[in-house]
Amino acid sequence: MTLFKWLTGTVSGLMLVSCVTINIYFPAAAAEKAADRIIEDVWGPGTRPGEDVEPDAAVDQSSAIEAGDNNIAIAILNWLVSPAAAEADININSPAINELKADMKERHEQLEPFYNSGGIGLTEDGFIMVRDAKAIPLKDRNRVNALVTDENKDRKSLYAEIARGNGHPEWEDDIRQTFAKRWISNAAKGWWYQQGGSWKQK
Amino acid sequence: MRWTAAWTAWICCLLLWHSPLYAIDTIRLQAGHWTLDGTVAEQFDMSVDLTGQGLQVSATAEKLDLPAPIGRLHNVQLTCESFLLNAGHWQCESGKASFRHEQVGEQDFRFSIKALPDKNDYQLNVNGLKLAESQISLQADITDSAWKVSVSADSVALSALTDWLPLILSESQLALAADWDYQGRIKMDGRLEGQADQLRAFSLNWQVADLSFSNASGTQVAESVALNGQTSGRLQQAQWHWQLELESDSGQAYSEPIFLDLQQYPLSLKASGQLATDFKALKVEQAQLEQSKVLSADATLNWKNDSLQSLHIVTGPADLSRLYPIWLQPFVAGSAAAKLETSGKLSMTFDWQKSIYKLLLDFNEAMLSDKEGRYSLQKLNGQLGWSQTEQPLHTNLDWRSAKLYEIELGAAAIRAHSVNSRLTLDESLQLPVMDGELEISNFSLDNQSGQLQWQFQGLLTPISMQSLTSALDWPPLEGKLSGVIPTVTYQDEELKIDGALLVKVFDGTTVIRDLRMTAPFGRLPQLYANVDIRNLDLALLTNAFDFGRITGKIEGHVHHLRLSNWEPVRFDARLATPEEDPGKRRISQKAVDNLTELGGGPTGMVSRSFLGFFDDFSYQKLGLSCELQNEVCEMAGIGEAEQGYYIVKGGGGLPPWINVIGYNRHVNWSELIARLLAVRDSPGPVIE
Repeated sequence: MTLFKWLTGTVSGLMLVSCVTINIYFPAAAAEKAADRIIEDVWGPGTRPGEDVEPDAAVDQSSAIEAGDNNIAIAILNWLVSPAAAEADININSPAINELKADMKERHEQLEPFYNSGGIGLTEDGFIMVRDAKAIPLKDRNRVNALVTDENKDRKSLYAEIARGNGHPEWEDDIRQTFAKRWISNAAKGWWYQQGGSWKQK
Repeated sequence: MRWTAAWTAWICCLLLWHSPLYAIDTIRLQAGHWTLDGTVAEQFDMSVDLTGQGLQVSATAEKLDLPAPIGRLHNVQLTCESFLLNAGHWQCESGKASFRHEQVGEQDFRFSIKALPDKNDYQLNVNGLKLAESQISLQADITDSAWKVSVSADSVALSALTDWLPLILSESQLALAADWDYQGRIKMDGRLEGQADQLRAFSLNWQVADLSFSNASGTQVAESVALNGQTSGRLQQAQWHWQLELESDSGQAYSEPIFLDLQQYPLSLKASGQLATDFKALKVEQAQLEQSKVLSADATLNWKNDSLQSLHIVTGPADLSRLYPIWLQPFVAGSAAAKLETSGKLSMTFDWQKSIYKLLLDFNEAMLSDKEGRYSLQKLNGQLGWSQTEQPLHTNLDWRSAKLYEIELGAAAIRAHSVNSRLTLDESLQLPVMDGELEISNFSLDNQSGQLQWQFQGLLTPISMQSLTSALDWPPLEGKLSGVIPTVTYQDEELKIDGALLVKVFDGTTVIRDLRMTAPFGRLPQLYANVDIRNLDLALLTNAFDFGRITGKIEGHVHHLRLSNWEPVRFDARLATPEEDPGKRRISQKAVDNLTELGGGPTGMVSRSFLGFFDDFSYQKLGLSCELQNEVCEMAGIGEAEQGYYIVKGGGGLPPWINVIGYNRHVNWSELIARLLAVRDSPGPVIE
């Protein structure tokens, strides 16, 4: 009986600690799913969600606690706590986000030829930039510059709004980093992206 | 200058053998290796023949090393078919020369020379030189005291000049040139004058066709440009006094971030000034730029020791609708002025000296209107001055009407001055806002740290809520909005209003405090506020919204309000009957039905029961709260009921009493809004 009390006491104590941990940690898996949904809306279903640039880099970082096979206590804890983790969803349904998405989708139609030609590329930090000005006809340069500026403003607003909307303005950076990976992952073949400071082509 | 030395050496080479000749038929001179004054010839062979026409001279050398910059010539052949030698002068009326040179390739050309060696006077004509895919001819007249050269080239290929560049550029200059791609053809006529190895004057007329160039990063580009130009210069007191004229009416050019369509808007430039012989100081005394139908500008400039010392630009009245997209818009991408509709005229005076500037803009009947509908200004007239210096510039601006989002602002005038990157109002500004007025005083704006910030104190005289709500497309409200605003500040993209705005509506007061906005002109403006509501008369309120009559008072708050892009996304709101002075409390059937619907219950319950005989009911307390987050409204009432919460608790006066209980605690926000709209639009319950 004492043993049982001790066990339940310890487990619930651990659970308490674990719950706190999960609330602090950024729900990366949910954020990735949210990012993929938004990216599909903006870029259209033509892009290929799930195809990762670097399979190694796509390791799920959502769990605050790594479940090692040899650590039964933590495995049990994970099982106990998983409903709490699953609830940490990222909500991306708000009028502001929908409006941003609609604007980005409309802009994408104008940007797409320049993704294809390599004129613009995806940066590592979740934005886009003019990669090769020479691939953009002279008369279009300023239009593309303005589109890139607007797109980046929208992206910044989007990351901030998702973070704020989910009650965690401090998540903005995590959201941005998640998006950075997912934009690149979902990019169509032939598009350019930055990796380790240099440009690569998908 | 190195060219002059080279030409002198070249002519000397031609003249080498004029010295002692004797009356014999043929003189032949052969040398395996011959050196004279830095000129080295290998396998040199020269012969002089006496013919019926006079002397015929020919010379060959396998290699001829001439002083820099010409360097080594291969397979040199030189013939003069008629060589005349008289006392004091000699001449070759018709000569031919050919050689091969690493940079300038195979050359085969005709020449004539007239020489007065005693006076050191030589006249040289060369025809048929082929340089950079062009036929080149030149005439030179060289004396001890001066030389003159006329050059004409019919079509020099710019790309072919690459091979020549090592002859005239240093290594670091070559490295810079390697970053550029260029092509095009130049037709050129020029005159050069000089003395010894010093060029003293030049005058060039040139036409470039199909000029295209680009630097490696693509920030400076021309495509298919045709350019006509005249350049001349004269050396006086170690300074080049130069003039330049350029005009172009076809092709496109881009100098980040300015794009010029030269065909649509032809461009011409006239300039003159001085340039130090060491290229370390440049003075543009006057420059006149004309962009047809768009811009005319006069400028002066001073450049010294690799940096700009001063720049002064005055532009004539330009049509804003053409000026803005070409010359202004590219600089303001991403800002609140990035997408404007413009008309009217703008002139500008810009004075830049030692990194600080003064700018005076003069508007004439200008219109600026944001394409995203955030603001507009109509009939803008007067001057706007901005000074980074100690010297003040005055602002004297007025406009006929303006609009901020959907809020109409009337005519107003600004009197201000700017000094040290700061603009201060000279007198308070009366800004009509709909049917009220905002008095702005102590306004100052500065940009000292490169971050725009401003503040003012304001007094808002009453604006009717009816016009405000109808402009904002909100549900119509009766009442007045007014306020004393101790300070409005804008800093780090945040607009903050200290103090409180007072809204007098429905016989009560609503106080808006802690009002701030981030990125007010950004992509997603965020508005934050706390609102406290006191003593609203429910009868007036329910009447205004056609909600079904309720009497009594109500109070509450909307705290932690956040509007994103003008839509509420977060707040804690609560409205309830006040503990003190609740007033006479009655609620009508229609209101009960509507409240029931809001709480998620069925409608029409009252009218279908015996309670349908009663018009209204007495209640003790009513209230509703909504905590909005993540698109979900967490609803509660004035107390817990079985499986729900009380929205209306009956009691107080005579029975029958009626309780309204809400069951839905989590309501989707858009659904709630839809329900509220349905309530507003519904015809109300039918009582039979």
